[in-house]
Amino acid sequence: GGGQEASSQGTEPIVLKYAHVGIAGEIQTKYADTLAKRIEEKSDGRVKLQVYPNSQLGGVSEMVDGIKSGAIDMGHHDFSSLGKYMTDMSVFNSPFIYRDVDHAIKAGDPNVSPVAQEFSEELVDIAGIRLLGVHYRGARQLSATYPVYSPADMKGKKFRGVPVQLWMTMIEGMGAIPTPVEITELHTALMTGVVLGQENPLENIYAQKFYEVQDYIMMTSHMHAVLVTFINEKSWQKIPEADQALIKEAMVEVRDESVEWVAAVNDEVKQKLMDEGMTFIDESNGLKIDEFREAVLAKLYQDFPNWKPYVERIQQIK
Amino acid sequence: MGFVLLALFFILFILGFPVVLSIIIPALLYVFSSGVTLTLVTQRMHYALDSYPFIAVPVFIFVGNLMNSSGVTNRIFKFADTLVGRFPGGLAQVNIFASLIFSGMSGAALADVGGLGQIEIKAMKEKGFRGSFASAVTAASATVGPIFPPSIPLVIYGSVASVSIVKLLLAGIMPAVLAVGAMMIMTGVISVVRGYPRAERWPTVKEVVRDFIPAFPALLTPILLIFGMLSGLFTPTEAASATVVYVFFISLVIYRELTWRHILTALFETVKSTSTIMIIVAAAALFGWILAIEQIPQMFSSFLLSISQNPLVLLLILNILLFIVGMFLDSTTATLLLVPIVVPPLVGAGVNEIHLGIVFIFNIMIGLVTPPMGLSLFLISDIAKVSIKDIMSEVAFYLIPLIGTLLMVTYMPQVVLWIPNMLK
Amino acid sequence: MKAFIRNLDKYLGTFFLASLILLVIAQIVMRVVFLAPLKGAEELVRYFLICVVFFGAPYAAREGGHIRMEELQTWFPFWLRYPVRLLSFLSAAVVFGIVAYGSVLTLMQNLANRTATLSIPFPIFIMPTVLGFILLTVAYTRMFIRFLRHPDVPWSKNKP
Ligand code: NA
Ligand code: NA
Repeated sequence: GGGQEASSQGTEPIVLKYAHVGIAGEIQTKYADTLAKRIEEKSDGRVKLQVYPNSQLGGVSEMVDGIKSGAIDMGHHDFSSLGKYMTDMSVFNSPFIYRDVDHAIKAGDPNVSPVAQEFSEELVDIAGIRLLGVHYRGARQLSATYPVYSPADMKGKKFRGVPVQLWMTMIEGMGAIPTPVEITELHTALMTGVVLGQENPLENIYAQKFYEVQDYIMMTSHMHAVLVTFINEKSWQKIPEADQALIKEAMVEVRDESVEWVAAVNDEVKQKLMDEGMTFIDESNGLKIDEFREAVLAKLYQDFPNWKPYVERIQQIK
Repeated sequence: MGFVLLALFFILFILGFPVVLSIIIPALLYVFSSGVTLTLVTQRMHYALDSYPFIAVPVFIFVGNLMNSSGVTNRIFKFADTLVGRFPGGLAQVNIFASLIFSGMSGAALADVGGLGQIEIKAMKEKGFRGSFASAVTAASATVGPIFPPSIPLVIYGSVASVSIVKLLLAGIMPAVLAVGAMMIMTGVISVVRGYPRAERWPTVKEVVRDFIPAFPALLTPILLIFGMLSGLFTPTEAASATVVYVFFISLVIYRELTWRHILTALFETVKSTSTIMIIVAAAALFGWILAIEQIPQMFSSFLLSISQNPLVLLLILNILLFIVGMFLDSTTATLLLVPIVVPPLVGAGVNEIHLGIVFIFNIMIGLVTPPMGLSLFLISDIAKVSIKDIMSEVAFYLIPLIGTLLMVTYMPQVVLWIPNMLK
Repeated sequence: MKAFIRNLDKYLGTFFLASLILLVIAQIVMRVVFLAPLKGAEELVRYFLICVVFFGAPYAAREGGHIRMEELQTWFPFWLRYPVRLLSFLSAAVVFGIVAYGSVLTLMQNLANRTATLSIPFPIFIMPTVLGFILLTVAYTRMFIRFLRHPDVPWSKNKP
C-alpha cells in the first residue's frame, strides 16, 4: 500500500508527534489510536501520527506548552487547558449550557462551529496553535458519600473541584465549598473525608476506583466532557492542503464514533458500578437537575459576565 | 540515538561529572542534533518540579533538620537504644524498624530518607557506627516505606493501571514486614561478625521508664499524623507540614531548646539538600522525555516481552527490566512510562494485577539504591557526607535480603494477596 | 552588604521554603477550621517548590554540593585527572550558559501566558528557573576560573 507509494515517489511521510494524558483502555486513548490509523489510511501513508499516551511527554500544562514551542506537534485535552493563552477558551467547558451531546460536540468542533472556528483563528495568532477537531468523553457526574438530590444537600459540604476557576464557580454554584485536591491524592482524600464528593465522567469514577470510597452517583450530567485536538500551526502548514482536508475528514468521522463508544462504555460502567454497590440517583428517583442548572448558571454569569454573548451564540448552534 | 545518549551519560558519570551535568550534556546534544527546540530543556526541568507530591520532600528534610537541632532526635534514639540496644546491631536494628513505622509519615522513599534518614545516620554515627554502614542501612530500609501504607507510588500505580488502591496498600503490608525481618537478620549477622557496638546488658524496667518519659511527646508524632490523615484533617502530602507544627510545638513548649539560630540553620541546610536532589529529578525528567520520544522504553520492553508468554518467565523478565529501569529513572517517571507497556501483556498472561503492582513498585524502589542513578544513594551521600562508592559497597549486603524478598514476593503471590483477599 | 548580595540566592530559597511550609499549614487551617479553603494554594505551593530548587541550585553548587562520583577520578594520574576536571568545570559553565540562554528564550516566547488557577503571568512563573540557570552559570564560571589557578583543589573545596 500507501507507504510503498509514498516511498516510490521519493517523499518521506510526515510524522506528527501526538501527545495526550489518557491511560490504556480509556476512550481518549482509543480515540488517538483510531485517529492515527484513520489518517494514515486516508492519506495513503503520507501523514502518520506517532501517539505518546499516558503523559509520557509531560502533564497537561507541559504538553500544551510543548505544542506551542513545537517540541510536540499535536495533542488533545479539555478546552480549558488552552486557557493559559486565551482565558475565554474555557467557555466551551461551561456547565449546563448544552441541550445534549450532539449540541456539545458540534458547538466545540471548529469544522462546523463558527464560534470554535473564531477561537481557533485567534489562538493561531496568539499562540501558534490551531484547533482541529473534537471528540466526546462522556458527561461528568457527581459522586458523594451521601445521597444528594438538590443544591441544598451540598450546602456547606466540601466537594473537590478541579483547580481551575470555572470548576470553583460550578461547585460553589452547586452550593458546596469548592476544595482543591490534587488528582493523585483524591482517592485518599475521599476515603478519609478531606472532601465528601467529587465529579468526573463515569469512566473515570470506575477507573479511579472511587466506588471504594463513595456510595452515591448523582446523574447530573452537568458538563459534557468534549476534548479538543490541537496542532502546532507550523506543523499544520507543513501538510499539503489535500492532506489537510483528509485529516479534517478523519477527525469528523472518529468524532462521531467516539460518541458511540461513550454510549456503549457508559452502560457497561454503570452496571459495574452498581455491582460494586453504588446507588444511582437520577430524575426518576428525585434528582432535581433543574435546581442545579438554575443555581450553577446564575453563578456562572455572575463570575463570568463577559461569557454571556459566547454562550448565546453557542446555544444558537443547531 | 537513545542508546548513544545512555552510553554518554554513563561515561560522564563515571568520569566524575556532577550527575545533573552528566544528564544535561547528552540531552543538549540530542536537542541540537535532532532539531528539537532548546526551550524544551527549560520547560521539561521546570514542569517536572511543578508536581504536588514532591512538596513532601523539602518539608520532611526540614522536619529532620529541625528535630536534630532541637534535641528531639536524641531523646527518641536514647529511648530506642535503651530498649533494643542489647540486640546485635543495636541502633542499626532501630533504624530498619523505624522505616516501617515512619513510612506512614510520607509514603515516599525520598522523603523518608530526607527526614528520618538524617536522624538515624546522626544517631548511629554518635554510637560509633561507620558513616558508610549507617547510610547503607538507612537507604536500604527506606525502600520498604513505599510498599507499606500509605504510599504515593502505589496510589500512582493504582490510578495508572486502574487497580484498587486500597487493595494495593493492604497487599504491601506482608512483603514490607518480610523485607524488614530479612534486613534485621542481615544486620544481626554483619554486627556479630564485625563486632559492632551493642549495650552491655539488657535494660531494667526503671531505665526504660526513665527514657520513655522525655521521648513520649516525640513518639506521639507518627501516631498524631496517622490519626490526622485518617480523620480527614489533612492529605498525605500535607501531613509533612503538619509535622512541622507539632515539632515546633514540642520543641518550644516541652523541650524548650529551639532557638532562632537552630531554625535558620535548619532552613539553609534544607534549601541546599532539596535543590541538590530535586535538580537531578528535574534533569532525569528531561532525559526521560527524550527516551520516551525515541521510544527506548517501549523498544526495550517489547523486545524482552517477545521472548516468552509464560507468566513465570515474564515475571522474571519484568524483575530484570524494572531493576535496570529503576537504576535510571525516578520511581514516578518509571511508573508512568512502563505501566502502560508492561502491565497489559502480563495481566493478559494471567498475572494477578494487585500482585503485579507490589512487585512493580518494590522492584523500582530497590532501583533507588542501586547505581548509577540511585536517587536515594545520592540524597544519603549528601546528608551523611559519605562517598557514593563507600555506601554502595555496604548497600551490596542489603541487596541480598531485598532481592531475596522480592523474588519470594514475585513467585509466591499468596504472600501478597493474603491480606487483601480478607476484604472479600 | 556584599556578603548578603553574594548569598541572595540562598536567602531567596530560604524565604520560599518558609513560605511553602506556612502556606500548606494555612491551607489546612483554612479548610478545617474556617471551612474556606484557599483557591490556588496548591498551585502557589508548587511554584514555591520550583523557587526553592532553582534559587538553591547555585547556592548548592557554590558549596560543592552537586552530587557526583569522584572515586574513579581520584585514581587517575595527574596528567589524566587534569584534563578531565578541566573539561568538567568548563562544560558545566558552558552547558548551564546554554540552558540559561534557552530559559530566556522560553521566557520571551511565552510572555502572554498565564497559569491555570491563579493566572500567574508566565514570566513570573518561569523566573526562578531562568535566574537559577543564570546564577548556576556564574557559579560554575567562577569555579572554573578558580580551578585554572588552583588545579588540584578537591571539587568540594573549590569555592569561588
Ligand atoms: Na531506616
Ligand atoms: Na534509580
